Amino acid sequence: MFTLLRQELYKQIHGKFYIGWGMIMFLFAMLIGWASNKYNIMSGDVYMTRLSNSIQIILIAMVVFVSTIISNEFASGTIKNLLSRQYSRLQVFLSKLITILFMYVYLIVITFISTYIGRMIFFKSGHIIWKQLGTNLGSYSLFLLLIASAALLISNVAKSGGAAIGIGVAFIFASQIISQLLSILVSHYHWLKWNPFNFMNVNFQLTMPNIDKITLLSNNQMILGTVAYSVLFIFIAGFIFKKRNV
Amino acid sequence: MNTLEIKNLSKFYGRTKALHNITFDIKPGSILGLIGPNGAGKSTIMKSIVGLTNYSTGSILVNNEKLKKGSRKGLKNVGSMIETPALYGHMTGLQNLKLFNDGSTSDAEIKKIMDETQISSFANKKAKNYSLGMRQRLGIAMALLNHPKLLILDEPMNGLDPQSTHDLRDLLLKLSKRGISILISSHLLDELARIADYYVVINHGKLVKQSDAKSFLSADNAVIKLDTNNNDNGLKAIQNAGLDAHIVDRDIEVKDEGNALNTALKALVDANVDITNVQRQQEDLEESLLNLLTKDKGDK
Ligand SMILES: Nc1ncnc2c1ncn2[C@@H]1O[C@H](COP(=O)(O)OP(=O)(O)O)[C@@H](O)[C@H]1O
Ligand SMILES: [Mg+2]
Repeated sequence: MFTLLRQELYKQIHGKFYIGWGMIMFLFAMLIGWASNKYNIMSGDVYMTRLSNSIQIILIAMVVFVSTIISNEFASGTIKNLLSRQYSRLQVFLSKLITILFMYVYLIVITFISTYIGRMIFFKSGHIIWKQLGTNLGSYSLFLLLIASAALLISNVAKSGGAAIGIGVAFIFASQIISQLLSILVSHYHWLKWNPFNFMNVNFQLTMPNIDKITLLSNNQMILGTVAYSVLFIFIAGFIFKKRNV
Repeated sequence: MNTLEIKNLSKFYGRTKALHNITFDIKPGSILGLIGPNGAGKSTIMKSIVGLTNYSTGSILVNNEKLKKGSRKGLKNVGSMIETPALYGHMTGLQNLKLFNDGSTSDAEIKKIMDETQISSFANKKAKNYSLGMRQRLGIAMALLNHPKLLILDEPMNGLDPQSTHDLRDLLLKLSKRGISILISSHLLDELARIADYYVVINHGKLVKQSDAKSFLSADNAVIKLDTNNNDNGLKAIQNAGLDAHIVDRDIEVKDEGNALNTALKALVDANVDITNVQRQQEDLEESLLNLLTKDKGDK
């Protein structure tokens, strides 16, 4: 298992993903910092707690990463190296999940550092409202968990990374529209509040007031439901991965 | 103890049966040539062994470990290259090797593997720029990592030039002398001729023939070719003498068994047919394989 994880990290270190997206995160943080200061778009505190509004970009990066981390190995045939040895498919799958987690933490850390630098440069202050930052990060992480799990599932069902990226990114941007449309239905049929799209509101509900009037879910129901759907998606993706012939 | 034991292996792809009760084994340090035309099921057998595909029934033992869904211990000492080399194009050859070293192969051993597979000269170039032959050799080098006891190579000579094919043969012989067992497939018998200790021939997912290399060319593949001034009469005379003969390309071909040559010549002399040419020949490997495969079709 440790060998598998070491191999996944070796592949990432020799890949371009982490450098490319790391640079994008940094540049974006600088750009937003500069613009926020110059045009008074947001205060330094908001800039910091929202991680320079870059979380959306991390979501996109992660959807791309999750969608391709398994499907690319199938497309290039390299999956044979992973599946033809003494390791079980479950171990291979878990090593992929852990690598995804590592990449997420890496991008968050890079963005945090970049934003902090931006705060120092453009707002001349290092003040951080940790509680707000934590709430923002936590709620977006839950949103990402749901979207990324869905992307992982789609990439395994469709056997294509491209489809998963397309649908995943579309969800990130369309989630508000979709859930607003669905909220009309939810208000008529209350049981529909348990549909997975309703949980795409998780980050809004946890960071803004009164969203629970639309979703009809309490914060705890929201969190639990998001995790439950994510676990279900990952479980199905893993099951497909286990059964798949090469 | 055999390195590999396959018993009654069957495999369905959906409703089509790709393998029918395949049974064979490999002894330590020997080379088994798996022969069959395209689509015969060679890759499917290999994929079943390493678990790239689920098989329907049968059992597989590698290094005395039974391979089951939950237990793949036996594959620890198996190196394989199945269908096409599986390389990461964005990494160099050396990085590909280091990636799949599970820690048991030292740098010196990696260097030795690179020398033996002749990839050292381009090991620091990105794999995406490799030619088919270079990819093939890197794939074989990767299969040699981690001290395999069983090497599974699926058509490894594809894309190799004659010199590289020759060198690969030498390498495989060297490896088998070190005690490594090798399962190697090809649709060309010729490629494996001089290296395989024994052969398993499969066609349409069925095992057609299994034999050691020497007896592969059995007597029933040897013929005597005769040309005479009157082949029609000559043929009749030879057949009357009780021999298995027929006309092939204007020659009389007689199955070369027992005392066939003497009997045939005597029959011709007795029938007053003048002999203009006599030739004794062994069918080449490729031809006997072809016969075997067409016979298999006839049986269906
Ligand atoms: N993934 C698959 N799905 C359905 N049929 C397959 C699949 N892979 C191979 N086959 C079929 O199984 C048979 C054996 O294929 P294969 O083992 O690749 O042959 P070989 O390696 O001897 O050329 C062929 O008829 C092929 O069409
Ligand atoms: Mg094949």
